[in-house]
Amino acid sequence: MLKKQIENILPFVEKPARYTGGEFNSVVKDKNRVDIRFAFCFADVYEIGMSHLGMKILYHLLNEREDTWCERVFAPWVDMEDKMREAGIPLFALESMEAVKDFDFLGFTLQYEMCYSNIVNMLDLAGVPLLAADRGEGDPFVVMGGPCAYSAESIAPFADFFQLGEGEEMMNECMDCYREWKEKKLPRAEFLKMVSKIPGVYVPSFYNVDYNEDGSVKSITPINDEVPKTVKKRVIEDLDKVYYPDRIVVPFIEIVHDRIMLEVFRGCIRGCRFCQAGMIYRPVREKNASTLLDCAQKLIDNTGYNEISLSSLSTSDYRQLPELSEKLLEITEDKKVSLSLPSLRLDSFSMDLMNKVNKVRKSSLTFAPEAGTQRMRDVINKGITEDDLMNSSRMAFEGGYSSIKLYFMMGLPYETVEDVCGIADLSKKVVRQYFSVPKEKRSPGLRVTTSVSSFVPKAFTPFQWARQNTMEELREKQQALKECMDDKRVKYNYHEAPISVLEGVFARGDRRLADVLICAHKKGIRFDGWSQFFSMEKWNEAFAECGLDPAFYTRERSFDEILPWDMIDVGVRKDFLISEAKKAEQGIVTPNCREKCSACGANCYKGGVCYE
Amino acid sequence: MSKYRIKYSQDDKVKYISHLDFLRTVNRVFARSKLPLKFSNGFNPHTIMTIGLPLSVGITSVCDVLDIELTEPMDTAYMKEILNSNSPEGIRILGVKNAEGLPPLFGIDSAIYTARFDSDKEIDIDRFIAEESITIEKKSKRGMKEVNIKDFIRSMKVIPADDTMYAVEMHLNAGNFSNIKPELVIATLAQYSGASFCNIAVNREKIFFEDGQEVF
Repeated sequence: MLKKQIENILPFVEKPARYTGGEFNSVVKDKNRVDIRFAFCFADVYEIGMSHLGMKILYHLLNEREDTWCERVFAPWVDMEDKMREAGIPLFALESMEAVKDFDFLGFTLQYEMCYSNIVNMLDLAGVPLLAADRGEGDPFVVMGGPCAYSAESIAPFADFFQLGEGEEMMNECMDCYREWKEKKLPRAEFLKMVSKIPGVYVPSFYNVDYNEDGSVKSITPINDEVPKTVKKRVIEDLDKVYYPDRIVVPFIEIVHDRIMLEVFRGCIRGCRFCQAGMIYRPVREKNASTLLDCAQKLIDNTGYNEISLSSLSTSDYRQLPELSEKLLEITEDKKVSLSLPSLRLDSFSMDLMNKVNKVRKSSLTFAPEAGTQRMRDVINKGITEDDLMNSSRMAFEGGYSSIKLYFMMGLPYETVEDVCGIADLSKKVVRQYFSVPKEKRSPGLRVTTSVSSFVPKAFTPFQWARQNTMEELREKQQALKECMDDKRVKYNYHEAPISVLEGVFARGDRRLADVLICAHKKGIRFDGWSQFFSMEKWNEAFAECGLDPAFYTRERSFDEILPWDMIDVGVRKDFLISEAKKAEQGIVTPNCREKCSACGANCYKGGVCYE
Repeated sequence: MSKYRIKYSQDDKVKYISHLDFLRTVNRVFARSKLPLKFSNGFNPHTIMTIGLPLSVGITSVCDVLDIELTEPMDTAYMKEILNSNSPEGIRILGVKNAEGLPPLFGIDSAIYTARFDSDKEIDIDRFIAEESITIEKKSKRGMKEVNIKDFIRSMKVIPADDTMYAVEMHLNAGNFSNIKPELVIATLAQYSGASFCNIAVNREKIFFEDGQEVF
């Protein structure tokens, strides 16, 4: 029995509780009483996957169905995987401890490109044919979704189909469709035809992609007239009416985000030009404070968690924040639950709010100016000025905070060395703000930490045509910045350049990269997101063996080039992205959605901020 | 003051969680049960809970105990029911009683364990039991120390094995004064016999106070 085999290897691996399930609110059903078995797979370790809100929602949504049992699957850590392979144990699901190859669906969520090698590895460990084309009757269907799914051509040949956009409605429609297919006992190919009729479902094998001699896409052709030319992402029109779990799985071991997450709205009004989330989640749709309070109450009661966090791309943009926070504080104080408020813009309201929330310890505050000069911030449409940052940091220092973290990017389009060195200037100005606050008013122990990541152009953003900086350029800029960082009171962190380049390749990749993924898998590549395992040398070998050049994918593209993801429609139109790209070049800012509509196209969804 | 003593079991499903994980888990069980918990004063209020004898990772138990303080008296039958319905499957509440006047849990001094295991060769457990002295390296607060493991073993006997080749029952020192981990005894037995064990399952069966009274 598989369960017994698993139990035998558990004493020899790190953190065995990653693999044993049994957590409170996890769902165990009688497998003989369900029609559909769904393995929700997250291609990273338990502690990371369990922190993912989308999985929490869809896990419980699927398990609300009497005909379906959804179980969780995470990437086994390397020690566990090695033991599993040694003992011939296939990838299994946590709830039943049964092999996922016997399930009806394997669903993968694509949260970041660096998990693709793990997906291939998990399929292999599961004993499921890697490529959709090689799967036959009796094999599970592999479905993928999540933010990377809109431009996931490099992983597309591994998927039978994709769900594009928000899954709460689409997932149920797909399960209903599957049941119908199963009852009629139709061949495998028929299911793909049936499911492709559901809006938001993209079946990659229904599109032929041809390439020009230079490697760019020549054409994307639906295989027949029944297949739509483009597939449009799904959104939930009314977030107050959509399913949200009132209970979530409470892990035994500590996970990365070990708390209740209360999703206050989806989307972002800001329209920063580098930000994929800001485009693909449009339009902004808020939940009502009363819906959220009801939800918070139930989740606290049903989980016993002592921490709750608001979740959104920019909490300060939630219009009912004052009333929500006031009432939420009443609940949390009563129940001895702590409240955390990420992504707040610092103003007098939020300062006051934070003081109410953190009665005790003033932890550090984080600001994300993203770029060092005003010119650059205008290029990326980050609507904050140096004055804003100076006012905010002064307010923070006067309010008793002494530790500030600053987030920046380098390698942005139209960036010069002066812009990069501007990061150092700005950091030093924050230090000066601290010393301009009278000694008796400020807290001792100033700490300014400046973290600089490398910009990766993403699909469906105004920078999707931009050239990504090479490793050499990034290293030069990092070096230049290091030299300007001559103030010892600023701690400077930067990310490794090679991993950003690889992320960039897969973020704007085409289907030919599937060969590279298979080749990389054969070389034992896995857990690329973990620096101790990432090996650019091995990846370079894989590219070379497949006759592909990473630089091809990070090059600049022209506006009229066919992009590998042109069969996907996210609502935001290409002509809007082009106009934004042109405005970026001239450093012209675009107002946010609430100041003025810029006609991006997301109003086709008939809801949210477009109709406020 | 309302202090209650709770007896509970931990099975295979929870045997790999650490003591800290267990504390967090139990605090969440109490929170979900909405009992009138007493909290400590101070900046980080926490429940006032004492775990009788922390359980090592990998071991199951049918006899563990903890004390918890409430702000008002509660019906013990109700407590048992509500705690069970809010506990993960691997933790079962076996009994609840008022702890007023009961000996404090720090007085725990021994426990009985059973261990079942397979061996790659035949072994003579009786010979191990009959030994006067077996010296081992034991981790103490001041680094590794040589001790006679037999000083920690009050009694040990072979019991009928079910699924495995061997099974033993052992009564060991446990608690704040003198403590030995049952898995160390089993590892010593393997080493002594020149054998290698697998499918080891250790279960804590009973916990005693110094006077020989069972703790619950």
